[in-house]
Amino acid sequence: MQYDGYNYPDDLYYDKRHFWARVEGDLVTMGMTDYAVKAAGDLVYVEIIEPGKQVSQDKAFMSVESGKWVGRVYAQVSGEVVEINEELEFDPTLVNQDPYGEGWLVKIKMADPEELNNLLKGKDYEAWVSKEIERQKKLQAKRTGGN
Amino acid sequence: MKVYDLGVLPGQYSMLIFHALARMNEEALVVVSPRDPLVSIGYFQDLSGVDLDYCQEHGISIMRRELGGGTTFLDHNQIFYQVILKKDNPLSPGSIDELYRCFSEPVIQTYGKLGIETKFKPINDILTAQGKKIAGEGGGDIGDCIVFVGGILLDFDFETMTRVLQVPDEKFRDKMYKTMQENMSTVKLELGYKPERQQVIEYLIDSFAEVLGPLERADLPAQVIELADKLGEEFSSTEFMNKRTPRQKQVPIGAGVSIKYGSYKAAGGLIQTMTTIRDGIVESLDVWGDFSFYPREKLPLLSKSVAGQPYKWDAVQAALQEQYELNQLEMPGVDMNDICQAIFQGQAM
Repeated sequence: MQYDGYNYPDDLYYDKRHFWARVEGDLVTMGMTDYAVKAAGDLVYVEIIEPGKQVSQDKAFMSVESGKWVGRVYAQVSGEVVEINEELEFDPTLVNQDPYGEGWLVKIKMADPEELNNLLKGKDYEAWVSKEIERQKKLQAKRTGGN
Repeated sequence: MKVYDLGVLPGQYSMLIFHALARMNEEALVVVSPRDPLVSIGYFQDLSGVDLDYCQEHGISIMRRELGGGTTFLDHNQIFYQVILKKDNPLSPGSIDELYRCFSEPVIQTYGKLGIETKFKPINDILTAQGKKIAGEGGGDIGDCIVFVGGILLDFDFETMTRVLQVPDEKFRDKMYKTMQENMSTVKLELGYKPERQQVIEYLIDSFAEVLGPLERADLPAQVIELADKLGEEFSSTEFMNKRTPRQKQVPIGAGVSIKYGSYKAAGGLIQTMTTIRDGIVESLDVWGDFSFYPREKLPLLSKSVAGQPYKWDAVQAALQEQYELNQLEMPGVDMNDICQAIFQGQAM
């Protein structure tokens, strides 16, 4: 799906903090959406955490930096981090260049597949994200004195 | 929203209060200066970039903040403005670019009231009319808040700033000092004098009120100080201070300028480089080391060849290679890829 110039692959799950999740069995690969990376600008650092870290759904567990701004990364599901994209230590802009491919952040071994019900997919996500982008645009216009 | 005009606080408190407010989900504008000199390292900065012995000898404390940006030297000549806003506040900008644009405006107005013309340069610089950086800004998400911080430079101790950083050699320190002086300015340098501190603070608060809405002056609640004390211990802990950080050796100067030191052990000897990069373009390159080079007097040609090239491996390597062949240079055991290894050390090829 495309909305307002942002790309959202149909086969992924999404949360309301602009992160995505690709589910393969009990393994969840996650990253930042096209919208999130464009809002952040070029990433200069991605925190390389150690595998084995336990994470909880919707809780921050690592950080990224762009433009001297540290943003937090929120876990899509609870479980154990089993792999980190170590390429990002040397080239964090991979996240900007290919947010759904080579710019993936971590892989989590999911503890409870039921948590996927808390994420959005397909038409449900399209409905939410389109409304959210329009809401953000209206707020920005208000802040900058536009219409 | 509340404004805490905290005056001058002992060292780390100038950086701890906003962390505590954000963790408590309390929106506010804080205006404060550190009483004692302090080194603050960014969330992703490596502690090894700080000269710990020098800081200890001179009573300069060191802390890591949860925000972005590089290693900074803070003292009473800087007036910090710190905005803490809940993420869901309609005033919270949606993108980093908008955020800096929005919150830099009151700072530009403040400089204007002082008689200094400044302008915003994306992503996060405020420059004088001559293009020198006059305010350092950064920020981050803490808990459910966004935190934007910056400092008005009444004056700046360039010498101590270059002393507190761990540098490979004195050549690098001199280069850093000169580059800072060429690219940074202060209120004192612009006006020829330091204006009265409280006047600057009043200008700041009035200007921020235009963006944030009415600001109510308040005393800092005791709970905030208690939490700040706890965070002080956490942020100074060995674990947090020595957290794993990415392998990059770069000193950001600001105004789009950074200096990068690199070294690489090639078959023909150790190559050391110092690269000044402005807005992604190589401005200058110094190459030295214990490798052999013939004819020696032509070594500067290599450096000159990359000036103006994009800071990209392919472009730099091609420019070096062209000079190497054109001038029939000889560097036993060293090729142009080795020099690029030093220049781009720690970065993806």
